[in-house]
Amino acid sequence: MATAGRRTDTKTQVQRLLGLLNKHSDVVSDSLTGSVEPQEKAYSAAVDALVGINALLPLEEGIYHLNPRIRSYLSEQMAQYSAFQALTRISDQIHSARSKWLEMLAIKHSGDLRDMQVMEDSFTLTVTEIHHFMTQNLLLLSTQIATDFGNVKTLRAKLQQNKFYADGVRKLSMELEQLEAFCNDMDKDSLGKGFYYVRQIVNTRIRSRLPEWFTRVNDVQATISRKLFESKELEVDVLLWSQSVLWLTRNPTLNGLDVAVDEKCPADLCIPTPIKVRPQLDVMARPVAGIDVIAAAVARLPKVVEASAAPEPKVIQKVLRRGNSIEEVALLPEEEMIEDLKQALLTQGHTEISGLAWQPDKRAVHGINDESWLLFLASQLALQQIPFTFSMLPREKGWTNDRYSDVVAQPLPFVSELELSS
Amino acid sequence: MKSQTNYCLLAGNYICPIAFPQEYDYLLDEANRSYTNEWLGGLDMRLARVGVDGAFFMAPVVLQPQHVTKIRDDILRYRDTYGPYLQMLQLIREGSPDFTFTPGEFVSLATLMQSVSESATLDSRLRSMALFIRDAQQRFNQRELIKKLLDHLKADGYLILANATSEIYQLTGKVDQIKSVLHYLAENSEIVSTVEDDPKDAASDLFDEAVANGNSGT
Repeated sequence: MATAGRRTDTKTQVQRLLGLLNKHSDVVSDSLTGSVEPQEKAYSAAVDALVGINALLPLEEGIYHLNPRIRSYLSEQMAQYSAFQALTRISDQIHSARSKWLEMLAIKHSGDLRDMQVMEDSFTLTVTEIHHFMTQNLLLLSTQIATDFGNVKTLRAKLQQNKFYADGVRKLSMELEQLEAFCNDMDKDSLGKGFYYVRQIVNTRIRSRLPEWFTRVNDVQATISRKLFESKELEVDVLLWSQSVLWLTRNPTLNGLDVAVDEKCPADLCIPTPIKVRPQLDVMARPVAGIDVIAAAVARLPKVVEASAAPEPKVIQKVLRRGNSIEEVALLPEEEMIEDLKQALLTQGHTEISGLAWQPDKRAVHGINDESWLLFLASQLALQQIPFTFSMLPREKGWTNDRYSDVVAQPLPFVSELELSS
Repeated sequence: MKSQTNYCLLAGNYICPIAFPQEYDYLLDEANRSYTNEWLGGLDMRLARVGVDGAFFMAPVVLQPQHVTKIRDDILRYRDTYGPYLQMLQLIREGSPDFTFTPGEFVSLATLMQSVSESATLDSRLRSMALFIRDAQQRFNQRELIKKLLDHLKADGYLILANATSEIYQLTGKVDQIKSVLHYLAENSEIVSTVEDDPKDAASDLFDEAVANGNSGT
């Protein structure tokens, strides 16, 4: 529980520190390339806050610089190194690892293994440091020789820098040999003494990488030596080019620069903007040369897809009725009168029935006049093949058509009821 | 050829004898140049050359405020506008002997690959460029990355594929445009400078240094 509580406490403190650095990242960024001075109120407050957590350290009165540890971390991350930044020596770490190894052997020999875990952890940390420092040294060297002039401005400074790094690389090369000897010793001893974990750590983190490190250090050494003699022959264009790449390397946080440009500057600087030309064919003119183009364009058109009817929404089918029941349809008044007439003809035997005299009251109620009724009656009787006659009026002068005054339904002596209903 | 040249200029190309030999020959004729200039005049453009005798390209008749703003923006975004080409061509220079950014120079994929293979430094720089080389990825092997780098430069008009079989590329006249920018920056900014620090003395120091060490260090 105590460990958990301490861990939570540490976590809160780390979060607070990182939060402050993040909040005032603009000041941290400024201080990476030089010292900073309090300016307006907000900036001064940020400087004060960073001084409060020792991220900024006072250089002189009112002038602050970035904590070297933070600068070192940021430089490593951004591969931005000062011109003569020294390589990190690893001799101390090799010596320390060797001492810890001897200590572990002594602990095992004594039989009191209580401190063995602590010692193993410490040894692992040292091996990790060696790996980290070597990686960073190689990154630093790669960056320094990335351009013809490294990150200095003049050839003289470059020569001095070359000498500086040539010495550094020579020492680094010697240290690598020490490291190789240490790894070989460890490989044999740890196997003999039963320290398999230690052997694995050394082999995986250092020994397996030694060949690559040797190659890169030799390569850097060769490059520095070669460039000592090549750099003096640079032509102006090449020199400018190299310096420009150098500027990009040295200023990873800058995107460009603000240079005064006016209308008198050379047109060479203006990168031409392409003007898209897309000739449109006059389809109506039916040009001979363009027919193929038009055909190709038509072929590229998307196919016409007939708009399909929107699918009907799915509904749950229900059984509304079983069987073929016939729905009764209510008859119209005139149809009812026809039906009554048919019944009357069947029931009354040989009596003929006058249409004009048939149910005059009912017709009056429903507003059916005589003329319409007689016309309807005649057509219905004809359709149902019921014999009938017209009571014709005498012809009169001036009338072209024959006129009738009544429709008389004839009796049905041989027609059965069944036939009539069908 | 007339329309072909006009289209080529409108597309924003730099017409040099390497990339567009026919169009370049056409424009070498005074009468053709006059015609092209007059034709571009209708678009408020003119026929211009990079430097005195560099590649032909289409430039505004007079630099208008919008052109000045664009030039300024290009320099404000120097890392994005010119940075990738500067770094990629610099890698080619370091990997190809005697390469001096002169139009017409050849770049051999095989030579470049050999140089990068022999130098862990060049290899690490090549890998760092995978961030901006078009269609490149960190997992690519050396050859793939170099091929992508050359393809990127080819697509943007700085190289042409001179021999597809042996994969030899050739630097075009468009590179002179970058050099013009560098010269302008040398005169108007401090990021580059043509003034060297007494190279004669430095050279003698070099010699003394080599003699004193008795070894060039390789």
